[in-house]
Amino acid sequence: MSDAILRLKGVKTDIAQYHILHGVDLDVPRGAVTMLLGRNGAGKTTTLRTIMGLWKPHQGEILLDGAPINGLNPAQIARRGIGFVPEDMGIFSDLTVEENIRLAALSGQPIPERLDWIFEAFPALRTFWKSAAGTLSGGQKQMLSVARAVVEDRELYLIDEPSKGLAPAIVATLAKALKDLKNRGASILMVEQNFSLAKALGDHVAVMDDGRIIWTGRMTELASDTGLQERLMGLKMETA
Amino acid sequence: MTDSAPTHAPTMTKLPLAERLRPWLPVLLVPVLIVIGYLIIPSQSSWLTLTVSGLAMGMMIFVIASGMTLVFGLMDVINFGHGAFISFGAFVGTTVLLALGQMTGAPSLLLNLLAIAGAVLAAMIVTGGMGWAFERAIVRPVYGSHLKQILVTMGGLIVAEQLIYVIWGGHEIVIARPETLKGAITFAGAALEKYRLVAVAVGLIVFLALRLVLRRTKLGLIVRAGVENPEMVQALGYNITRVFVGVFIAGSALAGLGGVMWALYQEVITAHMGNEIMILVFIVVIIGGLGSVEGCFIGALTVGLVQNYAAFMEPKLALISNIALMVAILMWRPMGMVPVVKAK
Amino acid sequence: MMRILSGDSPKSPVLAVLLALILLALAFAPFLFPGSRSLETAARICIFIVLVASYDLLLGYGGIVSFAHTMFFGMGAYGVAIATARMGTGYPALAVGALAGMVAAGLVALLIALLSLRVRAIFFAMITLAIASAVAVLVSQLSAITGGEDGMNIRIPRELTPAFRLGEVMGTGINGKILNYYLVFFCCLALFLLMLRIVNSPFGRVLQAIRENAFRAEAIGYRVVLYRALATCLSAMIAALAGSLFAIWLRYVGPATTLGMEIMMDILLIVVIGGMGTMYGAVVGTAIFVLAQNYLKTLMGGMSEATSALPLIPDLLSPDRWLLWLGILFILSVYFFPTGIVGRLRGTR
Repeated sequence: MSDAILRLKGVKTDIAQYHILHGVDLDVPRGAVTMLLGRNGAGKTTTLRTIMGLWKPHQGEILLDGAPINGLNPAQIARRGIGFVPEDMGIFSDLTVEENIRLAALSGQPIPERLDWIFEAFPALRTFWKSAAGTLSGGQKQMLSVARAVVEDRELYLIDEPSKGLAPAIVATLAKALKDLKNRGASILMVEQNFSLAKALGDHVAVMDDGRIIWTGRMTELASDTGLQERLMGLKMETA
Repeated sequence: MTDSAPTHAPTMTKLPLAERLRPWLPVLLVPVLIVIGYLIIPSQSSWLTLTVSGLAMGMMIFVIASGMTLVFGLMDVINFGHGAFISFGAFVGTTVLLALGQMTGAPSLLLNLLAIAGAVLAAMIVTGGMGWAFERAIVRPVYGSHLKQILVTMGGLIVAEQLIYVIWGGHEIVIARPETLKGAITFAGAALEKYRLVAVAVGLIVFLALRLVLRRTKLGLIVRAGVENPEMVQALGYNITRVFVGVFIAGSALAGLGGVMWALYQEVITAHMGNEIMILVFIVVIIGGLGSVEGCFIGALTVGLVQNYAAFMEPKLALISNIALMVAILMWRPMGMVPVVKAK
Repeated sequence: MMRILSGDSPKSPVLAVLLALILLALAFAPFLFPGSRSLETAARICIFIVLVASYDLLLGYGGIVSFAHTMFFGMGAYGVAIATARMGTGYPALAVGALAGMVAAGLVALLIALLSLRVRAIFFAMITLAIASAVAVLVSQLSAITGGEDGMNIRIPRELTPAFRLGEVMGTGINGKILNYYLVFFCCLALFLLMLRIVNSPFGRVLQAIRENAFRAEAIGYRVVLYRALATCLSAMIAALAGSLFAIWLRYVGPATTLGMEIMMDILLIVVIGGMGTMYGAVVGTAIFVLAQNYLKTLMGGMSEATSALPLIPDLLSPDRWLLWLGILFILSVYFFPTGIVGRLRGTR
């Protein structure tokens, strides 16, 4: 793939004395959704956090739009144009919903057009605009976390398991918003355990195991081949 | 798809009244304490005098402690050397005031205030600069290790204190208040020292200004968010280290301001005055909830009042009474009165 | 031999030789270094080894910073002084005082530990600092009980004073002072070996596991708070016993000799320089520190005088500024020398 927005070359990350990533090679295509799949502990979250600079790779290279970003601090990486939705949502519970979003708008104030879109996708955020984010439900917090990442245009969005622990109705809301984001031409790298959601959103797939990428390809390829799914992820995937 | 969004209200509105009041209980502590003071202190005028004096002391401790609590909240850094900034502030401020003897001795409020402003400015610049150096040389290499932080900042405190001996000599220095701030005004039969009223006003201004910055500005937003989850603030594109250094410098400068205020309050300064005040500062940040400016404010006023009331009832018990207060509050709320939410 | 050391060998030939030298020097101090000043120094080293080692139990093995260690030290010292003042001179008073001081120290330590450690370990440092400072102020105020700033002289049994003469061995006159020294020496030796046993017991290993990773230790099922509280109590009680010995040896107790912040800093510095979490670090560190203190201060005085023509330098080199250099040394050793002398000798980093 020549037109990769993000390229990882032989990235190795250690956390404390443990080797977590053993050399990750991955191309994330521009203007598409790439799903990062794999069982628990395969290194998916570590990969996202390493890209974000929250953990430093001790070897390898990470290129955003051809320019190396490994070695930069997370703030610099964010300002290069990466929006991040962490696994634990990273909500500031002491701040109001508005303040959470305002903080994410690096240019100062959120753009009204974007806000309208966010409110349309997540009406609850408008309702609780002035409430402390800590008082939101789990699903609303996840919406806020996504809203924070998309409040401005980013080169790339890193989204870590947005459906985790959420009720189906809320997952549907999130799915619709993410689809909307995709239709706007965004580049997304997303970790997802819920295969039906991954299938619905993903264009490309990278499967990880034991700190390495073990398979890459198109989502249609993986979705149609249950044998492949079983082999790659060691689990029977629901194909609902 | 709007109907698929959950419509239930945030949990806050569902709580019974008692539950909703609970977070505000600490705020009531100060008025309750003042009422208790009124009941146990026989003379109404002494009560008023003591209350003003307690509030003045509390405000000064708050000015000193606020920076320290924020530094901890933001980067999990505990600075045992904070007391050095108090002492240095006091010595620099006093030196300037003594040099401006003409202005402080004149019976003109304007000239007096100008002299104080000059002293405060000099003290804050010096202690702010010290804070910058302290962060760079002493704190920066030991991020993430409380054990080393405590040891190293304690070492820094000793070095700073010894430098005071080298620069100013070991003797205590007497410093008189400026002419127009001497004496007291009489209100409702109680003598209220003018300077204490000024101290209360300055403390209140610092508190309100801090709140304004924290609540109304982007910088404040970053600091408040950083106290809860510094990593996420980074991931949103803000260099938390730079913000932290700024807060460290500001906190050190505020300690310097507190040092000048304290010098004029006691009218005498010693090289180890910072250490003595730090005992109260530690009690304040612990009972307030490490990392919380509001908790620090309430804690400081409480400690100031208890110290003054207790000193009136039984002078020897003043310090012990504050230890008892700390023990009682920690049993009531182990994380302090205004616990700080921490991600992780 | 290994049983006496609880299986904790020095693991370095140089260290083993150093330790043996220090042990021999202290054991035969009255005969090797006659004169009352050297005997003072030797007794001081013995007592500080125990005091520092008991602090190491807390800091090096438990990973907890306390600023109340001199308070516990003082409790033991004042225990002996007050008991003697109330009960009259005699061994029962010494025993009762030491015991009371130890129990009081243990109880106070338990209270502080339970109060602060259940929240965060760093609370402990701040709370102990606040309480220790308050107690120091209180001790100097309550002059009716403690003698205030002047402190208290202690009348100990005659057998332990220089006035009691026994005869001569190897050309050295044996008097009560030397008996007193051996009381101090053997008590300190026993206490040190006891601590060595404690840190090498299963309890000590759990403490170290907690220091490395409190969360994991809790997850495996150890009650972290309980273990830390227990370590605090043990450490406080041993410090109190060291305090009692110090009071008996000096026949005096006062705020400056037992409660001062300066002593607390000495303890911290010795632990860090000697090597945290090694026990032997306390021995080597104390010996070097006390000797250096005696001779370096003199050296600084000389240098200060020699440079008296220069500006500022004599002020910096004055023996009164001993703490300034100590503080700088302390910071540098935390950065560059975190495993201390023992760590270096053992080749660990």
